[in-house]
Amino acid sequence: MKYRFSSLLLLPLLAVLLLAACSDGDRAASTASSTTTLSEEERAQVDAFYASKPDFFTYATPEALPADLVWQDGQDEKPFADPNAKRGGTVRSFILDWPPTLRFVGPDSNHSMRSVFLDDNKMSLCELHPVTRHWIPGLAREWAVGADKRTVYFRLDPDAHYSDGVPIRADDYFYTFYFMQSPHINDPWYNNFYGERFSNITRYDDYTISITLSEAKPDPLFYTTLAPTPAHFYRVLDEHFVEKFQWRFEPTTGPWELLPGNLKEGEHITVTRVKDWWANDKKFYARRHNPDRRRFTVIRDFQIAFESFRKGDLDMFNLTMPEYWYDRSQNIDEVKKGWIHRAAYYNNVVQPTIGLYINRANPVLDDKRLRQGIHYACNWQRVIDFHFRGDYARLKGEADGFGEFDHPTLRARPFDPDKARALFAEAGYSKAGPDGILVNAQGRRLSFAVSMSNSPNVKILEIIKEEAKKAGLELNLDVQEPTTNYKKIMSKQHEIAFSGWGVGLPYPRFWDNYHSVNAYGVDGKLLEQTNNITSTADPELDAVIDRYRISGDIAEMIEMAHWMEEYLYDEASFVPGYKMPFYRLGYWAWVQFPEGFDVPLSEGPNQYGLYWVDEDKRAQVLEAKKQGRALEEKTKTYGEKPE
Amino acid sequence: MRLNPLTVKKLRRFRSIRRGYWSLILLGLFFVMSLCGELFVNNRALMVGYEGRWYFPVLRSGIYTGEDFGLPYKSEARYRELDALFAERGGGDFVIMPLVPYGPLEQDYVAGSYPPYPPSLERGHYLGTDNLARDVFARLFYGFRVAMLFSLAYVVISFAIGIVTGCAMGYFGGLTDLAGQRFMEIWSNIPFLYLVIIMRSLIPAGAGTTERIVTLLLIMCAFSWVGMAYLMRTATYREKAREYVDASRVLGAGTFRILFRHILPNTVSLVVTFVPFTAAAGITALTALDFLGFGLPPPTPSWGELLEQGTQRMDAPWIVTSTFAVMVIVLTLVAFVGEAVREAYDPRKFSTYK
Amino acid sequence: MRDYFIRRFLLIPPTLLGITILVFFIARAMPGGPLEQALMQAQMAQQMGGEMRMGQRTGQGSNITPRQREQLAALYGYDKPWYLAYAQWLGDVVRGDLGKSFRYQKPVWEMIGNCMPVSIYYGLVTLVLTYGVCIPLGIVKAIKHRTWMDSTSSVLVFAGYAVPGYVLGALLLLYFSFDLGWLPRRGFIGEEYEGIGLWQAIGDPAISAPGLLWSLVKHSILPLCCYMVGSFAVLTMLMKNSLMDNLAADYMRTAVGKGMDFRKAVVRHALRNSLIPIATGFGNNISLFLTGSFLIEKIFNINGFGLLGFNSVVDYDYPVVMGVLLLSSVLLLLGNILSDMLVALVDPRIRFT
Repeated sequence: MKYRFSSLLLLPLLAVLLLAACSDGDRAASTASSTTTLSEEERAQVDAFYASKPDFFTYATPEALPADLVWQDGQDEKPFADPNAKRGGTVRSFILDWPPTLRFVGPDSNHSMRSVFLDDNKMSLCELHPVTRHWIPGLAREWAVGADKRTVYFRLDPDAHYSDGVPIRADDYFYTFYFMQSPHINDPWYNNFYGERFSNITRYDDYTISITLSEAKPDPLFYTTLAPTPAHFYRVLDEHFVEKFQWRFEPTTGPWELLPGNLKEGEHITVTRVKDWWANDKKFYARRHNPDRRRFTVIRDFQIAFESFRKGDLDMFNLTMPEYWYDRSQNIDEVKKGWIHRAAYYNNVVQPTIGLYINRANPVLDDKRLRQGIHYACNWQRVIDFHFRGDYARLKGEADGFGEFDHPTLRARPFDPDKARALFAEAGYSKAGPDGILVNAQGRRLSFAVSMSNSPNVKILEIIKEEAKKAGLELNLDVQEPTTNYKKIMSKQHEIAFSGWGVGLPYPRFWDNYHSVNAYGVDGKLLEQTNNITSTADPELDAVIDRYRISGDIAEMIEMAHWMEEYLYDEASFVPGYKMPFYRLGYWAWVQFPEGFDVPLSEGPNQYGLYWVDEDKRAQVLEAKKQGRALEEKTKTYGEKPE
Repeated sequence: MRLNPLTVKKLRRFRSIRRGYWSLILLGLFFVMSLCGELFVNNRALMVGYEGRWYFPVLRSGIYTGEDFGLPYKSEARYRELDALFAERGGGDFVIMPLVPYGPLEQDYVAGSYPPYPPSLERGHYLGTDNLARDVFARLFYGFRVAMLFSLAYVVISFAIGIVTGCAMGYFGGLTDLAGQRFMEIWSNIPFLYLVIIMRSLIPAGAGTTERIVTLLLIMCAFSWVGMAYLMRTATYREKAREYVDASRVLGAGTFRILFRHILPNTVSLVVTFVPFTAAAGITALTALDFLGFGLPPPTPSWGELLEQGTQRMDAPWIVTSTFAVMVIVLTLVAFVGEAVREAYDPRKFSTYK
Repeated sequence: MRDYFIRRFLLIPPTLLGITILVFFIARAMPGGPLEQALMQAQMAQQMGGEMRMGQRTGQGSNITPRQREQLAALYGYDKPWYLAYAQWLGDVVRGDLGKSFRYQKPVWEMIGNCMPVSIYYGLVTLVLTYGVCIPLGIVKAIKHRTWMDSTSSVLVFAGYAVPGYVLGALLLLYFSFDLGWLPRRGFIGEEYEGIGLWQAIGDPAISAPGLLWSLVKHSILPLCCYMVGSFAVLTMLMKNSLMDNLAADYMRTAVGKGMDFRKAVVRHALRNSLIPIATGFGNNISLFLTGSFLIEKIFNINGFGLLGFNSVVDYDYPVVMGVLLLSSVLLLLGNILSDMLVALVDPRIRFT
């Protein structure tokens, strides 16, 4: 036990407590499991599950594969890693919080290390090429889309294996559905995703499978490129799953693993590169994920973390926030003297719909003119120009970043107090009260509460609030702690909510947020716990949403999407906020990026892992720093800044 | 008005303690100034002369719009612009601005540069601006008003509850004492933050700033009286054990007489010693809550919010330094006053032994 | 007297019961909780402006069925009415089990145990240093009332009291550790000494004890400054005022008038009496010092009791909240009894009945 020497001074009671303390918490992350295959008995239990859903889990022979399949392997695409990248070295960064678990699913699995363990690590059947957006092989060597646009066939790469050496087979995909549909993982999100979206998985042989969606999609590969779940690690699930796997690291298909002993609770955690990672020499994976280890230190304060970076305790630092990019790092010695380099990466990814959601269930707000007036009364441009220094951009609308699905001409309404006042007047608010806020004939002030959670984003709304006064509109900020705010919004108790939804490729979705079945129940009461927080319920819109959902034709979907975007623009219950079309980094000069770094799909340097560490250069830079010698200053911009 | 000679004596004694006396004068001055702060720190003009008529925007409860002064907008007139406009135009129109021509909520962005702006005499931002281009001086000034009013109410309410409970417990002892102690022990263990979060969520979304502040005050007072009650309980126990209490009881004094005539006056020095510390604690607690984002509703000017911004923006040291300095100065003054009050109220003279 | 204290000890369990019932109820009455947190994770799948990117890979958030909601509710014990859940918790506590953290799935005892050594270290050092400074300072100030020494020290302790420790922490750390580089930037002790026990340190010649101590001092000096900066004023002034009261009392005049040495008179008579109010506060301070300040712990990355308590509240980790509460309540209750015992000890006139 550490710190034991302080116990000399203790009161007896405290000493007892101290003795009750366990080890210093070095709960090893264990990847070892007793065997690499399931026992007969375990096998039987899992098989029984498959057998209970014979329509879902199908066994077939290779002869049963449709003959007319066009197999693709993505080998025409160009690799995007730098051939000069060097393997080795250590990259040190930080996390603000200690992760509560090493699990990928279940409660609290959405934590600070998630992207390191899972999103940027675990491999799927196919991946999107980050430049061309065409499919490239992942765990599957070849794939073919069925004629029904629902089924996709995959041939697994026989080289693929987990970090513990166990090969990846068709069984792991069967098991994935067993795992993700299980109530024991206590994760409704995954339960829903794997339960509703798919209708069948078929095994043709050990390395050939097909996955079928419930509904046809223009590009079904987007939905079927799944990651496998190692059956030999999780085995038969039971109600102890959450607890049992809290601190065990799943054998991974990706380049990074957490070995036992590489974490000290509350202090630091280190992932190391999988020894002989199976994709080391694959065309699209070679020269990627280059360091030997990545160490994450817990630093609970962003500013202190930045100072640690300046001192050289950390190798890389996210400088996306304007104050860090400009005020903090522009003119410091470390940058001026070229020891720290900086880079801005303009990407092209789908943008979360951040903005104000106006609740139409509120009788006052159930007036289109009033809502449109609120649009004109919100000065997002000021937020963007000053708070975000003109680097961020205005969100276009419901869909932004979906290519052709984005509306070609429609843009969010700009700040215009006169237009706002005109619309408010139409809605009956034509006279100004003594404080300058408009009132209607009944004496109701034009005042609404904006519900939001306690975060730095409150500052943004303080700007909006101050500017809205110019249009005679008062916004009261109802700032709550996050779960309280969430509950308020989910029970549709808000007037206006400042919030944002995560969005995903390939198409914008309208059903969750705007279909009436997510607004009102059959009894006509407001539904709780649904994403339709504007309480939009309109039969005309419903009809289009329903057709859009089941359409398999891209052109038709685009047309419908544009129609819905126009419709929602007119209804004006979502005030689009801002988007952030880039990320920015600072890194010590020994971290190297490819010369023409251009991966518009990336959201961070670790997503594609194209950088590397030059340990020789580290010594040189440190020496230069010691002597105070200047190197070449470097601030780069990659990609195109959008208009 | 005639004062009790004893009180006069105390006042005289208080005056003789220079440090405390001057601290009180200063604090009082600041406080009075902040109460009519709109005359000193404001973005509304003190006086506007427009087309031969005089306007006093600062004294008016409502606003004058831009249209009132011949400008093409319906929102409140922007007086600094108006001032510049009139000066340029010449003629008899004029605007008289307060000493610091910025309000605590006003965001004074300058095209082409970004807040926080450093202190600038020329622009009238004597202490610079915060992250949202709001004048730091104005926010500190109005933050002071809020903090002072808040902590005065805080002291009065929590002492009233604390003294009554503590006295009763110490005097009656026995069951009252036991029950009171149990309750206090239970009560003082409730995580304060929980109640703050709960009560905040119970405030209706549309509630105004004042309702939110009063709710916060009541929540804080609900917890702060316990310390005073403990002290009063012990002090009452001590006084009760003294002979003069027994004597007066033998002489037939009733409970109330003993409590108010004998025990309370004798514990006054103890109570008064804690006034400054409680007042300061009120300010400190409010600041800490604001710092965490669970305090005053935004965008109310507050020291805690400034400290939070300042600690996040150490590269803009004017925010944290000025807030830090103002807070330390004000709290130190409060403590000096309290120290002097305590000396003045002490019925025994200080004895020097040679 | 003895009966009185025995009764006090016997009253501890019912008081604890009261505290825990009330807090358990409040936790349940909270508008948001662990259930909402889990639902939020499941439904939104991506937090605004956060690092999470589930949206990119797996699509948008989804709606939750009532059955799934029930299942999650059961996971956090929300399927039962609060009093049944409380009874269950209480039953476990009686058997010595504080339960498992919702968030970390670890025994609460273990989590508390992990942060105890650091908290006890800082708590005790702060306690000893605070009393060690305040009592002598209060005495000197009382005797040298209205001299320059009294004034200067008043200004200093009051200014210290006015300083918010959490802001001071960030300032000191950035200045002394980062700008000047005089003090270490993080940690409880130098890495070379990590994991060394006391006996090992004494017995092993390879470890230099002064080195270890120096490393500890270097690492803890800034946090200690922040912990203590505000704690001098109240105690010092209490000490000063109460000693002054006694110095002015008749028995002191008599003693000195009869020719007793002033120093002796102070030590023998006045000091003893003036310690009563100090004693009153002592018990309460024990728990106060132990629980620390999470803001300071956060800045200095000290994994102590304060940070554990605060994080458990903001994360809705109720088993940990209850465990921390139970422990700090026990300390507070024992502290209160200790206070009264001390009062009785220094002033025999006081009768608790």
